[in-house]
Amino acid sequence: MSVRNILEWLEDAARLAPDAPAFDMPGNGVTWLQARRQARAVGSFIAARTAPRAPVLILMEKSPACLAAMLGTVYAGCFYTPLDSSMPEARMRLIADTLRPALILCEGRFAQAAARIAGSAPVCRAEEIPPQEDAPLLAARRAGHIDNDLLYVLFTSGSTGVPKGVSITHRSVIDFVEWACPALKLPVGCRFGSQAPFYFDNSVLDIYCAMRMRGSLHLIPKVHFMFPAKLAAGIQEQRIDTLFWVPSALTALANAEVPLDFPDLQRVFFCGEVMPCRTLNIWRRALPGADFVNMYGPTEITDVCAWYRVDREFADADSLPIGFPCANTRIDLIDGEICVSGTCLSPGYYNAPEKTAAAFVPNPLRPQVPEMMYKTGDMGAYNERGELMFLGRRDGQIKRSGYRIELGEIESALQAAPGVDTGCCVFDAEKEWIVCAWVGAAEEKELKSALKARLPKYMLPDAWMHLTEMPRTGSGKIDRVSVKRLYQV
Amino acid sequence: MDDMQKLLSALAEVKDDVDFAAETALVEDGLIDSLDLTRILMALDDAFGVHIPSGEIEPENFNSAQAMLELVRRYQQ
Repeated sequence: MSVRNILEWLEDAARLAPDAPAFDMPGNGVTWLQARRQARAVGSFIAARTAPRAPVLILMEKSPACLAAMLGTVYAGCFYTPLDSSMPEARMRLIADTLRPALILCEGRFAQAAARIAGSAPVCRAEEIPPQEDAPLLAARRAGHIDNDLLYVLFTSGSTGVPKGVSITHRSVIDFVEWACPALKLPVGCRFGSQAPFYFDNSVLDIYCAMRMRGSLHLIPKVHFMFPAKLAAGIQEQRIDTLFWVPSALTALANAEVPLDFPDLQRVFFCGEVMPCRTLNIWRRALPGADFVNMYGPTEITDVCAWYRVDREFADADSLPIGFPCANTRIDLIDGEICVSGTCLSPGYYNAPEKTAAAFVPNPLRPQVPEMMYKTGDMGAYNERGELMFLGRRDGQIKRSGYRIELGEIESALQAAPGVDTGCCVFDAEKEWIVCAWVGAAEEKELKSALKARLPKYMLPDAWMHLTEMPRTGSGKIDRVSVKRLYQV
Repeated sequence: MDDMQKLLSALAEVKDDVDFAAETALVEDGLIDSLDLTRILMALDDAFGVHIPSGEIEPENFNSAQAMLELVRRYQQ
């Protein structure tokens, strides 16, 4: 019988590889049997306090305990939203207001922040959950499950200043992982070196492919990404054989003055932003026998909708194809825009019907039945080999270190800051700098702290221009091209 | 101006909301991130003329201003 709930993979792993390492980090690892037991305990706790199909907000550092909270939520028949614990409280509150969680699970040190954003939701400390399980209650929740129930809601930057909650079902993740494991040639027992935070959708491949293959997920401490020698030593010592990282992380390690000496590493996958061929070539020279796969996809289509296995040489200045659609996925180019349909599609943005209607539309090419299609806002074209190429964004969305950022969200925060009459943001793609320009009494320092209170760190501008007058186009709109030119001189 | 003052003023240019003179766990406490670290390495190069290869840095070298100064001195020799 085909898989209907992602927990079936966890149960298979706990049965077939009970003592194999599942989720691992220095001094804090669990086996598959322990992972299942912890998740069932958390699930029993949640199920006693919520209705099925309710949202559970998770405010925890990336750890085996956080995974127990996520999978426990699923055992309770609910869906999870992991939050970035370092984001400003104002943004957490916007997310909580949209999600209206039935329960917040947190680590003790985030308990006060959790209480401030909770509204009427109860806040529970994960470390205080008792290890008991209520098997009949979990069985009842399981009996009521269908594969189209939501598994998670991940929030991404929204242009109006309110983050959008992308909802994804079990069915989409099952379809994605059942495609990915054979397509990416993942062996049983593979060892992932996990870079992606759990609030970022690249982690979906890491977590569920590792689980499906009864492999292990090594949670690399975030701080190691600042210290390449430590990062490289960890990959060697843990005998990591599979990486799925954002290109920025692969580029940083390739450019650091450490040898890429990883005899166990056989698979290097990347997604989330454009992979520079220069970086790819450094890695290919270091690992001539490894498989390299470029992937593409926004959160709305369950992590990845197109993929390309590197099968020929590329010059440093070439662009890498994003290749071909994954199984059960169709990609149409409509006026050059990449539009996706298939099992991978999110049913929509959580509690945001207007935003959903704007991005998820009936496919105009097949109007006979309401087949839904997601308009990515990305532009694409086919090369002479028939491979799909990514050409850039249509609108004000940018990517920095793999993070999706709507310049409009930064502008909303800017306009709302005291002492700003008008403001705008432009992006210097070469330096990867966000440039902020404003007119008004606010000083740079005040403005910096005002934006810091509202935006996550990766959205904060790098350059600040206090102008006496904002350049305007003929129609009275802010002239962004002129703003950019002002910044360049 | 002694070397410590020179270092502290360079660090203040990188990040003005951290008390570099007092903190002793800058990395572990998450007070500096990878972007800050890149800028600190550039600032050390500007202020002291030392190039510190990114592959040779360890968290322990960046937890306090004192540790950074000791690192700079090792590369100055």
